[in-house]
Amino acid sequence: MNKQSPIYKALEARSEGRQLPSDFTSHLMCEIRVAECHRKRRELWWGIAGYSFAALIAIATVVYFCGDIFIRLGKDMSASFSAINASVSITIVILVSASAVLLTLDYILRRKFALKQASQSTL
Amino acid sequence: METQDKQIIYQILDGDVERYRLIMDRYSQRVFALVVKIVSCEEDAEEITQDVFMKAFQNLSKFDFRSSVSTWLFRIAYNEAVNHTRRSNHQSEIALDDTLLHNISDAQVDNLLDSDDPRLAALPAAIEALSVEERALITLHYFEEMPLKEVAAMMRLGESAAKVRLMRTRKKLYVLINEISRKL
Repeated sequence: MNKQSPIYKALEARSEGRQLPSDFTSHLMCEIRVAECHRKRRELWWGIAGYSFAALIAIATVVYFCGDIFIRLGKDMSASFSAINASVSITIVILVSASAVLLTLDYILRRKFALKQASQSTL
Repeated sequence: METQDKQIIYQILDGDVERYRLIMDRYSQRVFALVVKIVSCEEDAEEITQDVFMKAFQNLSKFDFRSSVSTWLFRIAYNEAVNHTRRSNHQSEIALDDTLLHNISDAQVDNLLDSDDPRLAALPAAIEALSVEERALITLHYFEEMPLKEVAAMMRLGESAAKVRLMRTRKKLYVLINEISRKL
């Protein structure tokens, strides 16, 4: 459309002399920082809840299907090495820590990889 | 500009939230100017612009880079302006009979709208009497010079439906200009 056309001029006049306040960006950035802080906190709690749930499921599955093996292994170990008290609880602690570390690593690596891949494909 | 915007968006998504200030500095006045043309009220336009940038920030990860950042922001602005007007019941639209519009030829409309006819003094009032969607349509197409295809996608219309609506809006302006200038 021609910039001298009556519609263009009439539309231009509707916003003429009207501007956002000078502190608009700063004010909104404050709100965004607060919202972002809340979002991160919410994400963290959901992350913790999700990974705890996943770890619980993993432990329950291992205990349900392989519980006997661990108990027998524990008994054999305590019989063979009386100094070492290898029990099911120790095995569970090791399993929980291992799954937590693996799940966290999985999350971090997947996020980094996805961002890198997205930036390479579009930039 | 486009590549710079993309880089900024990736930096924000990577956790550098402060970079969003650059996007706001670059586009806030343009978005505000668009919104104020659509909703008329300056206070409402400021509030809507704020909502637009808040919503854009919250949905930044969903931005697919298929359109430019400005087009994406305009799409959010259009939706926010329409929703805000519906919520606040600020519609000042004057409904016109379809048969009345049907009897007006495109040539008549073109002759008036592309001339320096004194009746055009009523054009600002006629624009004000359009619906928010119609105002958005003419602003995006005639002022922001967006192709009709893009405007149609923004308004969730087919290209031909947008074309028909644009013609109808022009005819509506013609009728309103004549009515208002008669009263003046």
